[in-house]
Amino acid sequence: MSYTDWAVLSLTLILIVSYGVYKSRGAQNIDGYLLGNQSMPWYSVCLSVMATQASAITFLSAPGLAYSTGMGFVQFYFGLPLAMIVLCITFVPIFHRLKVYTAYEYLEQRFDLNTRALTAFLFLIQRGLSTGITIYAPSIILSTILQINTTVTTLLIGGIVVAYTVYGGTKAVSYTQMLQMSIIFCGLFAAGIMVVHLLPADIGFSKAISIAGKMGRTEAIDFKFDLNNPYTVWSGLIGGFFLQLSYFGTDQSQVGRYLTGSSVNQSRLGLLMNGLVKIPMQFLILLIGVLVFTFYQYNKPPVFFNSFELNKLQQSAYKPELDQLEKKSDAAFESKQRELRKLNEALDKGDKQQIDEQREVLKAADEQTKTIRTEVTDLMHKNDPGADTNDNNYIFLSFVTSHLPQGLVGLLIAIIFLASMGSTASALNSLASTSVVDIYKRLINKNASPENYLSASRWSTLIWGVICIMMALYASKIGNLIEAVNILGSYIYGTILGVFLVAFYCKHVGGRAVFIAALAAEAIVCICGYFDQVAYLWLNVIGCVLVVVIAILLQFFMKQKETVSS
Amino acid sequence: MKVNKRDPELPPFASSWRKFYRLLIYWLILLIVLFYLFTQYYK
Repeated sequence: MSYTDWAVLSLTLILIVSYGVYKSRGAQNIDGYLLGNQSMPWYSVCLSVMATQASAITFLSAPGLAYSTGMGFVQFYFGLPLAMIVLCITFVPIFHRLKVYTAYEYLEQRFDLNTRALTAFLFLIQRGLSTGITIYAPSIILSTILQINTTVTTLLIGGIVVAYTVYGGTKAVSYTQMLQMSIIFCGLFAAGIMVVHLLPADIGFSKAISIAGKMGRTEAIDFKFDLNNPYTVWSGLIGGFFLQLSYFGTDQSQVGRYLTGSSVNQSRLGLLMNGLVKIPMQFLILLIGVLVFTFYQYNKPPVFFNSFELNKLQQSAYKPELDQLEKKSDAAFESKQRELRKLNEALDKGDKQQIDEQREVLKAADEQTKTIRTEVTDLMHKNDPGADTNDNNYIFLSFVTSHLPQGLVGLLIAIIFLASMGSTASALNSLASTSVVDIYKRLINKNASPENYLSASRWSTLIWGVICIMMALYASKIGNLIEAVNILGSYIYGTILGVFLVAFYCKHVGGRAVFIAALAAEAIVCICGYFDQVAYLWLNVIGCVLVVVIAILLQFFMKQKETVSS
Repeated sequence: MKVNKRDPELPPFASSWRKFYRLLIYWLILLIVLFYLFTQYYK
């Protein structure tokens, strides 16, 4: 990275953190620290929920996924607008009316302390683990650029987030996220323009997508009903709906964001606007990945995008084999160039038959490239069984650092940092809220002073920050980060959502029935997940449906038993 | 003179929350159709 890039990166980070700290000064109680005195307008709520969901993982993995497998990932978000509607009708008015700090507080009012404690506990496990992954993602960037160990970069990034979140609480989180999202939109727009600009002169925007399309990268929609494919319209609409509803309705990192809205309607509007914007935004991020794919059809890509792992292999005993594979990759690239020229001519002429022929030839060439990459990763694995052989998260990053102009590189690296900081800050704030409100204030120290609870919230944020950084240090061995986070969520979210749905819609079901149902459902979901029976998105549906059905049945039998004994 | 002031708590582009929810569903359907056409066009 050049000095200009370092300057842009440093200035952007300093500006945003300073702004957040300045705007959040003076919190005197947990109302201010955890709820921001419920004073935020809808646009702040909207940007805040978007920034919380769109972690660095979104900007690293999504273009990489589009590059490797196409745009099908966009279907994952189809359930989001529907989930936003259900949230606005049911969850938001109830949470606002009861003036709760956390979603789990409501469950004690509706059921009992056991159910509140169980759901809070499940949330703390899930969010604690996934926040570790959220911190780890951008640490890859620094380690790749500076060629230093990810441990150092993880500690650095985690440290900055922990510092401003401990100081400013939820207001610091919201204000930094507002600026972060604005910069993220601008940076991505600039990146998209630059990719098109860097393509050969005769390849325009539409032709670039057309070429990627002929090689199977523009398939955004798949109507097939396949339980084992996570990216179809049906898994997105049904599984995605349950995942998004449970994420936004029962995950405190999101509930805490929209509870900062100044009224029910401001919170509602923020969530609905998120439903409007999120899918097109994700589509555009994937489209950048597709354009990067076309770019690398004309500019030779590295044989493996993670330069750290590639360097390691080059310095090993497997260097001769790697050199052979690189020569093979060069030859495949040259041959592909000739076929691309033919496809380009066919597209210009509109010769359908030749286009179809070239499509098949290029698909075969693409398969050959994939085979060479697999051979390289096999070598890496032989050299070091613990090597990270998934380079999806490095593809966009490698493009940015190698091909974009000075200044823009710094800005795009800053975006990755900001995205990670935004979602990590929300997560730390929610972990602190749940620990203090649902555990410390409820079970350990019921009648302490406001100052004591404020201090406990700060300490809790700090402790969770340290735990999440430790988790991040172990995240390096997990493959695709975005999937890892979603898989982890799917194991737990469905059960928690089931508990909330019973609370809202099955008024006759009591605490004991729902508590046993939640434990049973969680066990079954874990078994299904362990034996890999269905794609992970469906685990949300299974968990949720099981809780509702088992709770209703249990309640029915309990009632019958009571009637018999009386 | 009667001033026609809009309730600031009402959603934009719609006269009630119910209509805004419906708008969001139409938006989702439109996006799915557009993505389908995109897939078919560039395939």
